[in-house]
Amino acid sequence: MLVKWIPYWCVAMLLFTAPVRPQAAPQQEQQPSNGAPPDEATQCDARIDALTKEMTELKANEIAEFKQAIEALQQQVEAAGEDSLDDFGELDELEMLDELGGGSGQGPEPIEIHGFYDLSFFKFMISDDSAYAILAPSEWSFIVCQVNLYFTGQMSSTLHSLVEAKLAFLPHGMEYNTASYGKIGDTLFDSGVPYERASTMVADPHLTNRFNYGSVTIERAHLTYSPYDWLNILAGRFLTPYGIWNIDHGSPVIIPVRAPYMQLREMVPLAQTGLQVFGRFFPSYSLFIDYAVTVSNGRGPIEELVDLDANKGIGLRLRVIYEGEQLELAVGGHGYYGKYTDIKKASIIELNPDLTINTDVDTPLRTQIDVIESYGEYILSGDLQISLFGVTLQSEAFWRLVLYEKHGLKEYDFVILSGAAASEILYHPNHIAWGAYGMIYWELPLSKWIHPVTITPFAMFERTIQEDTLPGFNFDLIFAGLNIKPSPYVVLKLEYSRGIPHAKTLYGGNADIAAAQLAVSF
Amino acid sequence: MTSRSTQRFREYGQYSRMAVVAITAVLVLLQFRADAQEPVVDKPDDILIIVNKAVNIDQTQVDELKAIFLKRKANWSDGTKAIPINAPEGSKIREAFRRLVTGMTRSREQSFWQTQMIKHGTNRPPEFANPLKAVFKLRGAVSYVYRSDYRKGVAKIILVLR
Repeated sequence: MLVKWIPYWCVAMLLFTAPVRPQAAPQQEQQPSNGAPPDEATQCDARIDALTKEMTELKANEIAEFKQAIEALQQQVEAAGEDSLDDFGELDELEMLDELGGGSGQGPEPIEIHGFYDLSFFKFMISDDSAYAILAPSEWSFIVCQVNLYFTGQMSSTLHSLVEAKLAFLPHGMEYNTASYGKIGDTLFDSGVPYERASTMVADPHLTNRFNYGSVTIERAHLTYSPYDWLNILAGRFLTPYGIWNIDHGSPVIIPVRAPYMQLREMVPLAQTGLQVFGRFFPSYSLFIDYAVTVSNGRGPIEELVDLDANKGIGLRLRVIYEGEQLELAVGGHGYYGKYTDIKKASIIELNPDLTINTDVDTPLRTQIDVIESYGEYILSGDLQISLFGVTLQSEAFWRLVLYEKHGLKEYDFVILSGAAASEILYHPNHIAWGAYGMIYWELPLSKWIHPVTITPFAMFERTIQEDTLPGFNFDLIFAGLNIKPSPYVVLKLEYSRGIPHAKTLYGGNADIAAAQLAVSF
Repeated sequence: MTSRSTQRFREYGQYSRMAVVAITAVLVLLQFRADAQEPVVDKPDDILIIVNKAVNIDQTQVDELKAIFLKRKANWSDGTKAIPINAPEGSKIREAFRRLVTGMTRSREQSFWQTQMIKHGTNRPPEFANPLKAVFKLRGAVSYVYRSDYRKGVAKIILVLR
């Protein structure tokens, strides 16, 4: 601001000094009309007055220009609404984001932690010598299966991070092997396989107390970039976007206690490591079309860490969802192709007869990788969910074709269940697996009397053909039960189910399971 | 027989014409009645749906609001990220908004967000004691205030719920 006034001050100073005397003459010449001789000081004063007036005019012009600029700015401010925000006070952006908590998407925010866990109580209604006793205990047992923790973070409006970690007591209690015997007449033949059960018991070296340590499984860990509704890019470990159950997956959300066999036996890979591009289109606000494309390591013995073959698993998911006043309808499909490969590695060292390295060859130290099992799998699955007046029908189906490139060796129990002699060497054949379940549940319209408690009876049927070449592994399952929700965060489930093996004579009949579960989310 | 049939057809024709005229008259009267309804008057307890002024939209629909507040839709039509902001739980306006837009009860909404968290790791929209301030400050933000709490120029009104 001062700089602008410098020329005027310079002019003023010049006028005050040299030009004062010569310019006084004309003023003196004008004075004779007064008849009095001009005083030199008076002339100077007059001159100063004139210059001051001139400067005042110049100042006034500048001030007018400033005023105009200020008015323009004020108009802008008014347009922005800031004039009416005086009583909002000084607003610090970070302070406001603190108040907002998570999800505003405007900057780094504290990690939010959520989760769920469940306590189950169940019994297989079987005798101790039943074939099913190999799968589950025949006594009433309490079990804490899992504690899942969610860590979410919104780094910016388009970047979201999610880690879901599962805490479990496993591998404690896992039965690696059960001893098995063949019986011919009264003679028992030991297969030589010992009974092995994992124990994770350790002793604290300081306090000497003993405890069983557990494990942490990374269910999901991914970063999602979401610039548009129709385009989201996710990188990391993610749940395979197929069906309904695999996405629901948490005990407080799924209706029965036990998941269907297509989930338990992982007929479709439940999770993958790689990239997913997904999005949603809106033909209308009550009709959504979702898609997802996945590229991952595919299935493999260590797929979370390494892809043991050059093929990537590719998946495509499409789902159409309609949400009306009373009717909700969702129809989806998923296709997947991937290759499973297992290998073993060996180091080969070229040696001389005296067991020193043979440096005469080009590469005396090499690695040999042998593929011990490899197959390609083609999987198609579909899902349907219809809700009308509180009644929901949910169904999923899958079809899986396994084509071996390198057939894996069958374990001896698989050999026997295939109908061959235990001494034979057999390999897993190409096979087809398929299965489907249908579940119906109805949230009873009792909210008028017992709100917020909800009671939802359900029934479910499932058929799973795990391998069309192995009838001994194929089952039907019938479930029925009750789902009671005393609060949005707690679910109590009561369930009775019956497993019906297709090879009934092998197992000696059906297996009934009674189960209860308390699932809690927080 | 022929002349009697012709007579009947004529009678039917007359009846049909009379019916058409009567129905038309009823519809016209109903239309007048609809037109004659009282003009809409702004009330202090109208719920204004307000959006940050940087969002380049002028109006919305209840279905779009529902999709945004349930985080089924994450962007406005101009591409701006939509940030739904709720009034505090337990406030009168929150209950009214829930009833008019999402159609959920409080416990149903809690259950919905628990499910969304388990399924997708999605958090519920943030709550803010002064939604007007939040909408003014946050690009893409959308919220709701009573007309009596609204101040002109702070945010853009895109829908009025009465």
